[in-house]
Amino acid sequence: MSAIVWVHWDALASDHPVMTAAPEEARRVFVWDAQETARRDWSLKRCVFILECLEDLDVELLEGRPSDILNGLNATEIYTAYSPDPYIRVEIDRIEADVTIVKPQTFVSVPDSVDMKRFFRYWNKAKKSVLHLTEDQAGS
Amino acid sequence: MTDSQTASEPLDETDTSPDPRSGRDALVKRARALNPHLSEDDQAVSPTRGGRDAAERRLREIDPIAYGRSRNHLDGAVTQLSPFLRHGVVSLAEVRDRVLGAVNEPADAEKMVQQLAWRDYWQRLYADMGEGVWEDREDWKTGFSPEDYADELPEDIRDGQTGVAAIDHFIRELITTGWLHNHARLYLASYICHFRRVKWQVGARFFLRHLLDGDVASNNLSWQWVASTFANKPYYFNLDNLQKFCGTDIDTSYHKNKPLAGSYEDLHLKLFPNLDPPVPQSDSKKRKKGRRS
Repeated sequence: MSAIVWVHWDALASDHPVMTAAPEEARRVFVWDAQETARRDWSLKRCVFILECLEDLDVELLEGRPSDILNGLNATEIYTAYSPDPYIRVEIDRIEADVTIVKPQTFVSVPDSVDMKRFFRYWNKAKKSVLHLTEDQAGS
Repeated sequence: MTDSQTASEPLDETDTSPDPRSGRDALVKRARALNPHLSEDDQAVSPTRGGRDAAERRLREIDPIAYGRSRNHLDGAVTQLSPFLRHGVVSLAEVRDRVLGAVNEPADAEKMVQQLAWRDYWQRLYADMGEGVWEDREDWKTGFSPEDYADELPEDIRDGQTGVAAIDHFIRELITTGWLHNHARLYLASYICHFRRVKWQVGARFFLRHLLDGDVASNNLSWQWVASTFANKPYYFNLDNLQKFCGTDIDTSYHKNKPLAGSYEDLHLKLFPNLDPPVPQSDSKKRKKGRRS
């Protein structure tokens, strides 16, 4: 069994729960996708900032399309952090190995039925959970 | 701060160097080698350094009460944590816990935590909308149709040469530092979209190119809020409002910012001539507030 943590640019933290979810010996890999940075037209300063964040992490930096590179590494399991970004979701779908998607620490718990049409409708439901308010505080 | 405190927290000189390139030659070279699309004209490197230590410094400086009081001012006590949140160097939960730990009463942290919640809100919408965040979420409420807006960013905007001093200041700051105060983002977005009648998608792409915290969901949905395709009306501002929030570093004089001058009623007639009579000033003022950390 070989496991890989695919570290992507939406979760550049060594304490992200994905790191502990994966086996300790798992290889940690970041794949720089130049086609994607070009598609996004990211400036030099954005690329430098991301590379600087990566320097803190104990990861291998590879180049290419993430799903192609990861499939070529012949891992049996891949662990990666959750992201709503369609690009990352497509790459995950193209991975042949079993993929475990790990969410960050919970920020807020809101019911699935919460009205998302405007922020303040969501905030009214989220406020108590996100501020850790007691019933009394929430009601005041 | 006492001497002993100063000694126990030595400054990281690489983070405070006035030259953003100091100690980063290898990084710049690496970035160029990895990204053939980067042109030689693209030379700016942000003074904001990446990495956990840089984020930690900002976490230590959090002052929720000062933030709540001054965050709409361009020289206010904002955290500049957004690039680190964007790339997951710190999580929303971690920042929230630090904010709550810095106050006695949760209510004192509410403004700052609410701004964190904006990011959570955008990310939840992104999960549902996907690439749909690039499409108008609702109809325009400006009296114009999408075809009335330009498909290309005018060169003078791209180069920060509009001749409107405050706007040029914001553009240059965006391009050189990769960061703008949220209120400046709203001013600049409103200028591009309403004063110059450019499609919000064009402006959104311009911001995403440069902002270190550029996130498609937060960015595009905020642009849609300015444009009116994710709000009940367009966001616009006048020079009086700009002068109130800009501090002293930005030239907000009348003669250097004439296109922005006027009452809300006058600007409404000028910017949205097809709409019914101007909204009362008090309603316009309600829309001055920022929405991100």
